[in-house]
Amino acid sequence: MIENDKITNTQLWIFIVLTVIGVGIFALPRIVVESADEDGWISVILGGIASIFLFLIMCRLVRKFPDDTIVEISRKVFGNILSVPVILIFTLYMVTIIGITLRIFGEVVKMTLLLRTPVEVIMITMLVLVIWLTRYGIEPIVRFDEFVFPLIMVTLFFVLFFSIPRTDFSNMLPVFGSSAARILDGAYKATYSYAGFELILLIAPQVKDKGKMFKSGIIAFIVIILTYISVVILAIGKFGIIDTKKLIWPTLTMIRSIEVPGSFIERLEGIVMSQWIILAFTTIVPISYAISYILSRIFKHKNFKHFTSISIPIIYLISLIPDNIVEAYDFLDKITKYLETPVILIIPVLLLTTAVLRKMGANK
Amino acid sequence: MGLFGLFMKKISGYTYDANDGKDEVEKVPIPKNIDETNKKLKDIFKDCNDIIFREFNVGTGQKLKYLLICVDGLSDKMLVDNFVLESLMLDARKVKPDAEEIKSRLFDLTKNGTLATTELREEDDLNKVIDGILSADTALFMDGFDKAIVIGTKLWPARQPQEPKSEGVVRGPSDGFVETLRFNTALVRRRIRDPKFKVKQMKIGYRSKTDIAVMYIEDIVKKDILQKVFDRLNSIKIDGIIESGYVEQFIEDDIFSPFPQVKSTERPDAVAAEILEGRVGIIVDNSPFVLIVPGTLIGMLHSSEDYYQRWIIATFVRGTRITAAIFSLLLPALYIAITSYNPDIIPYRFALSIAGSREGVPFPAFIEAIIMELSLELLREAGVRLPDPIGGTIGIVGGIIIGQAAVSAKIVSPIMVIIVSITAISSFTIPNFGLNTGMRIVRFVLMILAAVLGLYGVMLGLIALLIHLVNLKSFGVPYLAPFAGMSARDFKDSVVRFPIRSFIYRPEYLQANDKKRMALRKKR
Repeated sequence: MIENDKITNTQLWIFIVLTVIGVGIFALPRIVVESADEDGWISVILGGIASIFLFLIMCRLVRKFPDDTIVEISRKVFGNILSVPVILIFTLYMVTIIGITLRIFGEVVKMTLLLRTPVEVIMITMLVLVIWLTRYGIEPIVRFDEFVFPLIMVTLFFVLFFSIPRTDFSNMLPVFGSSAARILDGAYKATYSYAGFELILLIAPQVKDKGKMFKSGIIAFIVIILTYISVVILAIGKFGIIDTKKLIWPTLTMIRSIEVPGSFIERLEGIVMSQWIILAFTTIVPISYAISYILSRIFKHKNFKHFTSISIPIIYLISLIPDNIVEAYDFLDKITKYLETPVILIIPVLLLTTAVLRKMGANK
Repeated sequence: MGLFGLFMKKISGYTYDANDGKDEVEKVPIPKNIDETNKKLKDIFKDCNDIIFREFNVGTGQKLKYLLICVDGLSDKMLVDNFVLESLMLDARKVKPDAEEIKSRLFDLTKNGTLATTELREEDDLNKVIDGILSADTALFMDGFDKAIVIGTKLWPARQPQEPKSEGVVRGPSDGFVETLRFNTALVRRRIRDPKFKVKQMKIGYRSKTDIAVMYIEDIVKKDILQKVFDRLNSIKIDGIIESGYVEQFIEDDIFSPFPQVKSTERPDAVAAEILEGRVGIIVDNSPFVLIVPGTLIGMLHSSEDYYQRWIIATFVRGTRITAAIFSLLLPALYIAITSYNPDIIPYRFALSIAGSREGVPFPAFIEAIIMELSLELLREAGVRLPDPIGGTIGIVGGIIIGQAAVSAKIVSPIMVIIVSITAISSFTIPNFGLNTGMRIVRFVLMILAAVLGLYGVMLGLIALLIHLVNLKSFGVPYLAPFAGMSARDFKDSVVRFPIRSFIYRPEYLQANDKKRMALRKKR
């Protein structure tokens, strides 16, 4: 079909924004406030800046090997045997993170839109659509992103704008009230909300202009960080830190409390949640694509489509592991600790340093 | 998907399978002896009583045998009588017959010097002559020659250009295409007087031999698109093309899509405008609907009138139309979803009034909506099939049944009547009939999804719709262009319409060879 098409830089940053912003945004205020109290927003900024640095490392890495994905890169750099754990961790990370994202998605939809429908129905129907789009390949995924991006941004702006009334910004004080360690801990925990940009390790061969890859990333991160900061600040301002900690999804509660003066729609929740389904969809699809693509590369199979259908039952089973939302977030903590850190930090850094030391790959 | 894909491949494989041997007919020579020709043709046209055979003799000595064949009713008899028969039978006698010398040059003399008609050609293949006769030309055979003269005498009962029935405008020309290919090409040619504007004709259908004209401007249209058009047209192997709908269904990209990928229009001005943008027009003989490819979704929502009005008004009208399109797609589904799953998103007073109006209605919202939608579909279908004088009655009967009686009988709620009416009115604003019909089907699917999964179901349906649309291409051009490409320049003529003087370039997604359509204006 249209598999060999290239991604332009505009498409790339839209892709990153929509992949990164997704399910994580709902719990983000709680997660950072739990660690850093009033300084949660500083954690968000720090997490964002750290992500930019990690993204820079990844860009350096993939520019050394312009036609390779993480699988080939690690095989070249580490050799066939040592690369096995690297690829394994990467795959495992993708599979678990998508499973848990799907679960949280299902729970949120169940809670807001379909109170009596089993969460399994929601997840399966979603997965069907995910398979469908994934099978078309990266270029249609990106075009899908491109089409929905303006709609989502308008809604997002709308939501943030109408959240401003009845917000007490003095809840933000004192600034720097928490210790540096706690702020850093918050930044570390916020990384789940920033996860998604590591897909560049897989899709880089399809990016048209690799020189401007990092620039696209910067634009994407600016959009993401601004969104996250506004959400966190508004949540703290609205609920104060004590209530924010108690809410599972402070952002959701914030959306529920929005009142648009004189409008026909009583509660924006339904409308916003409907839009958010698309946002979650654009987060899950790229990861699903990444999984099938990485599997096809591992088995040196040309057609990734065959792996989409194989990976779906696994994703579904993983999403069923936690019994409830609290367990789901505990599970997520473990993923962040044991899988995400290696994938977005240790592996790229190791690969890059080894590649530089062994003088491998192209020099710019 | 796998099985489905296989099935699809089979069908499309059949469509685009070239050469099953039916288009290449061997050449049949014309016998030199005219009696032999006569016998042969009489044999071929046995029991075809509408074919006229006219044998006559020419020259002062009446020694030269001629044979003239045409189809009664298709050929212009006045033309044949006055400028073919009269020339040959009367005028030719005035020339002194210098027997041998003239006899060897007789064919050329007849062709170039005697026949007083504009269009004629020479054929030495009997099959082609027969083709010509059946396409309303007149064939003239001469004794002693193995070739024939085919004279263009096409004149058959035809409708004159009238105002198109399906796409009315207030401002704009009122001529519309008719069933005659030649009139149609003339209507477009009248609007584009450029030698680069090509009208390339071919015949499709090994029995019907329908004329098809492909129209494009040579130095504007992208070669790829043109090549695709010809490839797909040439791959059609069918006995007969009756209407351009046949061609449309053979050349479209995705036969399972509910959306039309080829724009069909009755308006010559629309065709001319689209060709100037770099598209390709396809006229099929016997059909007043001209096809335009590649088609885009937003193009189906445009009316040619949009370009004739001032831009502020045009933008407003376009906005209304697109809102209407969204309404016609979503309104019933949203009603079902909100009343059965999420009544909390509308103000509670309104929710109460809906609940109040639904009191006594025994059906769930979904059944209620389906009843109303189906009865509307019935009305629509009945209105189309019935003759005009009775058609009006249907409206009144339907209006009373749907509007009054159904509500009084508590079969549906008044709110539902409003929803269905708005949906129906909205769907009538969509200028393209194919899109209108496609949207109706999608609407029903969304209604079912809304009944099963509420707002979430509606969103799933929309995502699925979007996945389909994003992957849909028409002749290599994305169906969602210009949105999925995000070209700021093309956005000027999409949901909004900027002033005409700002359309300096042709749409980017068509990748025209000649990108610029306007000289840059100097600032005043």
